[in-house]
Amino acid sequence: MSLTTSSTASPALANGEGGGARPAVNRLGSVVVGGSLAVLAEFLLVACLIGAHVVAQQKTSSFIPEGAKLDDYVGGMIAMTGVLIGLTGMWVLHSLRAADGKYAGLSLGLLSGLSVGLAALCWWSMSSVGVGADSTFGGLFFTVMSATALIGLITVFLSGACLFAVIEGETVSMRETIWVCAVQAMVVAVICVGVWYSVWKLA
Amino acid sequence: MATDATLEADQQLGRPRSFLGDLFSTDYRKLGLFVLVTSLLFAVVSLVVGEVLRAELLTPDANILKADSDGQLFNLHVSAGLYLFLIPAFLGLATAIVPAQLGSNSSALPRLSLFGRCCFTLGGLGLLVSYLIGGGPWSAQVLLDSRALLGGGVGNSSELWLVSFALVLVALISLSINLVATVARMKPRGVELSKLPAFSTSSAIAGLVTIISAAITLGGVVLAWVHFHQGGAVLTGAAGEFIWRHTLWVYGQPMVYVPAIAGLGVLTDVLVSASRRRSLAHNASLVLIGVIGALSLLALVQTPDATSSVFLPLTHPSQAFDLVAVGLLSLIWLATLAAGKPRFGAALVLGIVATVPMVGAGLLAVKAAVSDVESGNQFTSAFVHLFVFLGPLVGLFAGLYHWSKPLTGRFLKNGGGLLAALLLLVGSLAGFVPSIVMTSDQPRLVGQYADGLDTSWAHAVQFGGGLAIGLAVLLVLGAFLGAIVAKSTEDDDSKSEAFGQSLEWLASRGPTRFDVLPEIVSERPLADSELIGAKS
Repeated sequence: MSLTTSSTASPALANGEGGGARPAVNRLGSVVVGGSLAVLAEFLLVACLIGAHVVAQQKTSSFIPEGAKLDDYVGGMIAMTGVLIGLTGMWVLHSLRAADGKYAGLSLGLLSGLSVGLAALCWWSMSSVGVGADSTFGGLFFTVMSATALIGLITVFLSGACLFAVIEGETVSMRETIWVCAVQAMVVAVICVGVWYSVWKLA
Repeated sequence: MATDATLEADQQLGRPRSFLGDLFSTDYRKLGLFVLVTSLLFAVVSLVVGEVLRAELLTPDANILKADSDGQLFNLHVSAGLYLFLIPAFLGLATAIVPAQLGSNSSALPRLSLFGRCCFTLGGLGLLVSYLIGGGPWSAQVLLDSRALLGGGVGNSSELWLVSFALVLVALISLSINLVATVARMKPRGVELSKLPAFSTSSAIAGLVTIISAAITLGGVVLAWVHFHQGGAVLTGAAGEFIWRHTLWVYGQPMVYVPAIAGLGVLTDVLVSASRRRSLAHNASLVLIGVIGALSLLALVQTPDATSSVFLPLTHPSQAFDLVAVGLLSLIWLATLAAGKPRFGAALVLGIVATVPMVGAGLLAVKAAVSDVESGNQFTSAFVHLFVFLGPLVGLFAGLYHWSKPLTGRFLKNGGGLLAALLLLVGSLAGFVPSIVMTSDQPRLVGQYADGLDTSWAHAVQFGGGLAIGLAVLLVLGAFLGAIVAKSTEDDDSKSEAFGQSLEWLASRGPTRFDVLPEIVSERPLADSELIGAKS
């Protein structure tokens, strides 16, 4: 199983005049640019929620209500899982550059597993916090953790699709998606560290 | 994927064009056109509502609306005008024109664009329907007033509004991603940033601003949804007000500048093309548009007293440079027109008229500097309309006339465009000058005016101005829809804007006289292409 490093441009399109053909513009990179922008939008959305949590913490007296239980262990695990996801994303990129299909598959599989773990950790943190969403802290906590769990699941979907493609050997058309998947993994790392710092460290 | 080539093949074989096929086509022209036309239809809603609000101001005794309805309609006017009309209209125009400007057969991510278009249609309709349910959506007021957060609970209409608004934001992000990727990846060989057409550049900048701004606003909508579902217990106190101002408040969003950014790009291309010579300072034009784009992001770090700014949407002192940039751009256009041989068609006249509201905004700034003007009154309303809404609106129409052939397959008639330009000029002056000279120190609602102040004539003039603008919109919309429905005329390349700084062509299926696009070596590639073609 090997990844092809070269790329093919889409075929030239006929201009409908029966004459020559206009050269097709090289489409390579469109998915990378578009995917990266989508990941940027996703990052900004979650960053907005984390920022709201930080602001509320600073501007609200007795921000954390009685009965709320923030387990440092869970927060630390979320941060560590995030960092591992980021490192795995870099491994995916490295495998892609080295055109190494075996390690690409391995790293994508690991990425899927870690992302599932992240979503589970977020679920765990919400089920064990001890308060509902009917307070400033509760509302923001549940929103931030739900959003983090959601991007974890998006990463599972993305890496799973890429893994399937690598196993099937259809790597050329998926190269750009794999690239986007790696970018997503690194953004997840930043978000997880941000969540840990704002929710657990600043508390 | 349906391309121009396949569509043309269909026509040659006599296959009928199916409506469903057109509806879900990934052809960039059809996609852009659909967004454009949908947004123009939403514009009619916004304008009608605006006129009803104007009618309410005609006399202090005119109680056309209940107090609650006034607030709801004001929100509908703003949200339909900005999020359903101006921003998507420019994104739609760019979706249809930018690939052609770059000489490409397709946009970068057509399926994402189609997804965005579907979200926009659904979200837009849902947003309008929400105003028909149970007295309207309370939650919609969070766009303008933080006090809306005090209302606990969420009804069906509020729920529908929040979901629809989120869909519209997703649509704007999707359309913008496609635009930026198209400009970044679909350029032909040899095209550097400095050689990009102004509208392509401004579209990419506007797209980036939209992505950043809409993502943050989407976060705000999620928080508002949680807040209302938790009985108003989440976004409370000073923290709630701070979060509201930076995520949901309409003037705290950089997106509010998108129509101005894209509109300046349209005007640059229209006026320079009409002058029939190269721009005297093309690179400077691109830099100035970029500066306005960068300054728009300062809305994210607005000053604490931003809500009481006299010059909304300028919520940060440095954003005053926006007016300087617009002034410099106007000088470049003027100098280029003076140096060239302008062809006075409807597009050029509309382009010139578009500068009137923007120059008016600049004059307002001078007036405010020499006199004492308070915020939240008619003066602020006039400034917002002139700078953010009216200037870009006329700029959009200039673009529609300039690019009517590639958009619809026909040239729009000059007479209609000139009449629309006249109506828009009269509407701009009549609609907002009284706000500046007569009622600038008065609050928005007549019922709150000082006793004994008779402003009925001023509001009557403004009502007439609004009617003129509405008529112009209907005129352009009618002409545009008529051109779409009518049969396409034969391609007439003799009217080609050979000196345009782009590869765009008037023929709907591309440059028929060139089989292969030449390498781009200058700032006026199409003109060079023609020279090469003539020599060979």
